[in-house]
Amino acid sequence: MLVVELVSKALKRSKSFSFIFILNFCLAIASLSYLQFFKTSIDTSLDEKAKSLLGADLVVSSRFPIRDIQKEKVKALLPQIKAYDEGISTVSMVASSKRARLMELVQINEGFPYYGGLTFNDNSTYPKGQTLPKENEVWVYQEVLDLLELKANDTLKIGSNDYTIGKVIKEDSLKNISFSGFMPKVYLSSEGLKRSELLKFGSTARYKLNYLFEENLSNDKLEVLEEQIEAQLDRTLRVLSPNDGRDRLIAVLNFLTNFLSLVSLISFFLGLVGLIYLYSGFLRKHQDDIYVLNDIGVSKRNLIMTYLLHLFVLISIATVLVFTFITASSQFIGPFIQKYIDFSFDFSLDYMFFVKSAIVLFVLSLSIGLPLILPLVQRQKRKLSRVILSFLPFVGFLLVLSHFVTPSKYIGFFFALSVLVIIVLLFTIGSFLLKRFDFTGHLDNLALSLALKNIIRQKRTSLTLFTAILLCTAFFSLIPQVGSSLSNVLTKSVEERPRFFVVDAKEEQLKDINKQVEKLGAKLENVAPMIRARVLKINGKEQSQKGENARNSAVNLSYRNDLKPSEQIIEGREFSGVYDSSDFSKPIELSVEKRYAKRRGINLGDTVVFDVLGLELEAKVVNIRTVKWTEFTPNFFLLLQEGAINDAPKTMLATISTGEYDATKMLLNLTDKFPSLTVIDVKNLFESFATVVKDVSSITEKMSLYSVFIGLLMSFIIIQYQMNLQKNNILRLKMIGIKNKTIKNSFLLEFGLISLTASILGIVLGSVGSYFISDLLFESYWDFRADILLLYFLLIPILTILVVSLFTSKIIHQKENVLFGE
Amino acid sequence: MKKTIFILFIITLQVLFANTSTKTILFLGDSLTEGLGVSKSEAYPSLVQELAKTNLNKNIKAINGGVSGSTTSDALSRLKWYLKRKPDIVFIALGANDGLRGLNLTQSQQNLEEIISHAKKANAKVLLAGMLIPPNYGPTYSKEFANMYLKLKEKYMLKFMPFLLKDVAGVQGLNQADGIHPNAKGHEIMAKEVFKFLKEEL
Repeated sequence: MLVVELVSKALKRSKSFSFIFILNFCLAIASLSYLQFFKTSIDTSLDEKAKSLLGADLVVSSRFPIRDIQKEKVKALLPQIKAYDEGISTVSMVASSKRARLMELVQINEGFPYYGGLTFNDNSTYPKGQTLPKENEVWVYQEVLDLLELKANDTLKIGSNDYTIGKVIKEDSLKNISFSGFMPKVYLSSEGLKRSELLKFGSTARYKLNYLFEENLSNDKLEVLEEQIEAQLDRTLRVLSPNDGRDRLIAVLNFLTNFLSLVSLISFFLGLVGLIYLYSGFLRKHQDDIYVLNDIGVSKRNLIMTYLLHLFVLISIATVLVFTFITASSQFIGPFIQKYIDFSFDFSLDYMFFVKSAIVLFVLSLSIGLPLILPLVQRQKRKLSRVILSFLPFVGFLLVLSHFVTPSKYIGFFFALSVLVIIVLLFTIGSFLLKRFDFTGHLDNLALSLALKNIIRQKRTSLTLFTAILLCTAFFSLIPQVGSSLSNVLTKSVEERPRFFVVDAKEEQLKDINKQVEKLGAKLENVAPMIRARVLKINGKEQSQKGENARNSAVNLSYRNDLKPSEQIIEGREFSGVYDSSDFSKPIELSVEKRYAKRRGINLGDTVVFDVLGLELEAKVVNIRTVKWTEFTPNFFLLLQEGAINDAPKTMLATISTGEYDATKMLLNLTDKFPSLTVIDVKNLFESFATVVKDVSSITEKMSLYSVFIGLLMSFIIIQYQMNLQKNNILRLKMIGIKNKTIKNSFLLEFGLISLTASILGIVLGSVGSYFISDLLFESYWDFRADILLLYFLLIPILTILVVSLFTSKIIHQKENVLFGE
Repeated sequence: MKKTIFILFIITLQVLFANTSTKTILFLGDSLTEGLGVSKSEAYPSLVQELAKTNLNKNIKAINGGVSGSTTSDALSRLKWYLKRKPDIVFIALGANDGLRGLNLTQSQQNLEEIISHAKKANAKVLLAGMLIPPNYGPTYSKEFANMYLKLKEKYMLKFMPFLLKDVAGVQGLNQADGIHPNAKGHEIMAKEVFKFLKEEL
């Protein structure tokens, strides 16, 4: 009861402190909470999106008609089924009077897909609001019309029969990323497919069993089910779960959520710096109260409980405020973000999130409160080792928290660890330097003299402020640079991603193809020779050529002398030049992609023997290289030195970039003029991916700004609070007759010096950090943003001086009695 | 004694004859010839070599010039590469990928004509294996595709095997899970058919 009474008194007596503390902590946890909330929403939305890509909870597919006995076996392995559908898709030449093209025919049945569906050009949808196409009717993608030069309601020929184009599909949730996904789709009813008479003995088709379960199973559970079932079925049946499609999206979003997590961790850390600073200041201010209470008989236990509870109440108030805001805004944020970006996020509230957060905050107040409160209550100077030990639970808590808020392993952990190491280093080196720089004399400039004395006398305060500003600037320069690098790479890859892949070109055709492509307003790029080979031996060890191993040993080789900018050697050296042995008496130099090397157990210096179409060639690994995943251009696991296999039979691969040209015209023109060429339009393949990447990148940028804003605010809260603590100092200086201007200048110099040195060091640290994060963690280019660095370099000291000037003027012009009154 | 010497003479003659008549056959094809999903020794070219040995007691050298995904367009450069080994027979089993990708068949025919002419110029005996496209590609395209081989056969007066995948295509037990590529059993049947077709030339 006494504890509660004391806490309530503490709250009432220090309203301004409570307000600043709560505001500070609200801002600190808001970004982290919102991020977790956002991440959960993204996860849920992606789960839904993945289900839409599959159309069902689980799909069993086969290249052969699935027999009843197989269906029964599958059914026996599944949970309670709510709905079931049998689908068929095949490929066929679909013709208009002008031309014929290979297309994918998909049989669509009543009620399927169970998730997602089709949206037509007239904005009607299927399965909701639309009946199946008639027997002589088809629904087609816009590309079908473009390629066959048709329009809606025209007829096209499938098999020997004519079909009317009933609807043109604008969006298809089942637009998957498979090879057949390259082909435009034509949907028809089961009667329609029968009418085509295409499926008979010898026909190739994909037969699918689509299942919707009674129980709403998570995608992860469905993946487990998929693996369990597939192991028990015969090899002709393949089982698919929603995660098969989700993984492609998640790979990209992980980069973004990793970045977002770091941004929110930064805001959180900044908040914690503020929290520790504010609360230790509060405790120091109330040190005498603690001694008095102890002297009049309040037990140490009760005192510890009082301040722990006080801290907990403050944290709880901030938490409740933030959670209330999240709850209130969740109803509006979904539609708002949906309007802003073209991706359906599910912002429903998960109350477990609040429970988890409450536990986290309780542990936080305990782990941070005890090491701050104990020394004051126990009235004894603690050994440094004990002080460090007392902070260990808090440090451990921070590391664990950081680990769990980032999706990728160890990213958060190592990030937090490096920040903590930097703080420890700053305090150690800073204390040492300030001790050595024992300034006791006077300078001609009184203001500067006072400023330096203040910095040295109040080592802890100076170092805290220095650390806070340094971390702020470091993070300010780090976030935009990493964000800009990441967004540049993603946006670049979205905008400059090839539109067409040109396969099977002959070397002698390239000149003409290039001419044609240029005539239509585009460029033929990334031309690469491709030679088929088999890996026979690695370091003299024969590689099995049986079964699955035979598939693995077949490889595509390419050759060139330079690496692309998107490739980086991580071990070894570059190629020495053009291969010069006419009888292959010396090994050819070989470059191997990192992941492939790991998979096949290939190391630097190893020898690999290839069978290049009957010719055995020995190669030596001279480097292991990484390939940037965001490139989306032809890349090869194995690259040989130029000059060795240039004469071998090869096909050429190339890409045509996205641009302002007429893509349909390009496709038709190239395939008409070069009939042996295979031109693959990859627009569909990356379209949904590109949209999501672009939109989430945009959110990331906004989140970065938020973090920068919090950092700034946090620094000024600290400065303002520090200035308030300096009131007595100001009074003393005024009483001994020092001019207001000198006092003001001394404060400006004190904070200006701290701010300027912290900013310089922070910018350097932030840039180094951004390089490592961009290059190592996100596998992306490092985008050095000198403009941003210059902005922060000038902005933070100027803003600090402005704030200090404002607060000093306010305090300095107060009457002595007002200053005493405080 | 005379009898023994005569028998030994005959045997020596046979051995000599067998050695001098070792023929090299180039199987120029795609994944069906390369043996995608089976080992090279299980693919039909190797099996044909074995059949020649066991059934005819002839040593032939089979070069597997099959490459997965190969179309008629990229096979000519491969032929040029293999012609350095001076094959006596070139067994052309190409065109399946052209058909499966729905490529323009006039161009495919032109490519095959170039390959045939080139092989002939190199004094190799050219044998042609035909393919059929699955019925789902539609009657018009399927017919055009089958006719392409017939036209070539007539124009170059080639010995022609109508369907490389005879008795294998569409039979689940003889194909891999993809329904397109024969498994080891499928390759055995293909080898028997190809051997039957080639026998006279060996």
